[in-house]
Amino acid sequence: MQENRLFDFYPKTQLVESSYEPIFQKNDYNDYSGTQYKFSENLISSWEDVRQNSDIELKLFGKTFFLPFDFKELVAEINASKYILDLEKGWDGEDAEPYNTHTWEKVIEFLIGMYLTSVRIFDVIPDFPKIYHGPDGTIDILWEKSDYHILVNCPKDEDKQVFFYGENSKKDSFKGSFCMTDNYHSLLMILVGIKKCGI
Amino acid sequence: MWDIEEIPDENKVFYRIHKSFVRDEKLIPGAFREIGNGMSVDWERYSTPVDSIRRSKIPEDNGIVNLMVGNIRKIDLEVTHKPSEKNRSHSIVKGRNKKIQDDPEIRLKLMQMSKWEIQVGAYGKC
Repeated sequence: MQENRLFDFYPKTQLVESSYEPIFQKNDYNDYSGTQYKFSENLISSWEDVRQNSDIELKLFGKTFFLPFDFKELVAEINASKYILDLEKGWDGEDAEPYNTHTWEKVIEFLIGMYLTSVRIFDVIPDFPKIYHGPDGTIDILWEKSDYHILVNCPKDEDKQVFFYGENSKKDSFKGSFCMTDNYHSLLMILVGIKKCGI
Repeated sequence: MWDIEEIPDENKVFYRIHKSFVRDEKLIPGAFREIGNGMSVDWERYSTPVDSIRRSKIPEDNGIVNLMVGNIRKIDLEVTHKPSEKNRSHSIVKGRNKKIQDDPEIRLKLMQMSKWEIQVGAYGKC
């Protein structure tokens, strides 16, 4: 089984401070799947150390994600969202098509990556969203909170744009788009800002 | 055939929600999408929520929400009366510039302004 490199993004015990290359200079910080990251060997003493400090082992689509216990609500939502893959042709009582497994996988990887980046860079865990089937084979991510709402629509094809819109209880609104395979700065900054500074 | 009429802002339309668009007893934004020429709704002048749910293939698998026409128009959607021979109330909601499903702002707002008339699964129980 392939082990995803994600687990080196959340060292609970940072042995050496600032020993990694600043991610914001690389402009590819949401790509966890490859080998672009060249972290110092000193950051984490060993893979085993990371494993021992990770509380949740999430196995999805042939990969293993080691996540902090603080992510348990996100992991529960990811597991709950597997229902999307069980929707059969005509699931809407009309002629809706089943969802593509690859689409769901990319959305989950994107979400996990974004939350780990948030923890790593900003030391903030944003509120966790709900994951739903969207229109025409797309997947929706919804933050429906008492003082703000954000809807993110992830495309069926990963090279297409993700569109999002949000508003808060003061009627301030924001919208934007990004490519899942490129970056998600705009959405992440909003989620971090809400958590750190309030709406 | 019926005349096409102007639907006043203060009127409501009824929109059918299939059970697949309710998760944990909550309406989800994926429910709002255009199929064909738009999102089919029924104008309250010529329909009741019960009439609307009875027009679905399996009424027990559906619910009905209402939407205020003026609120729909405020978010840059068109609401037009498009009666059919069998359904005088039939109307269409559609985006002016892009389809409803392509705009998360519109879908989020439609979800927020929707009010249940008949909850999914409630038809036939009372």
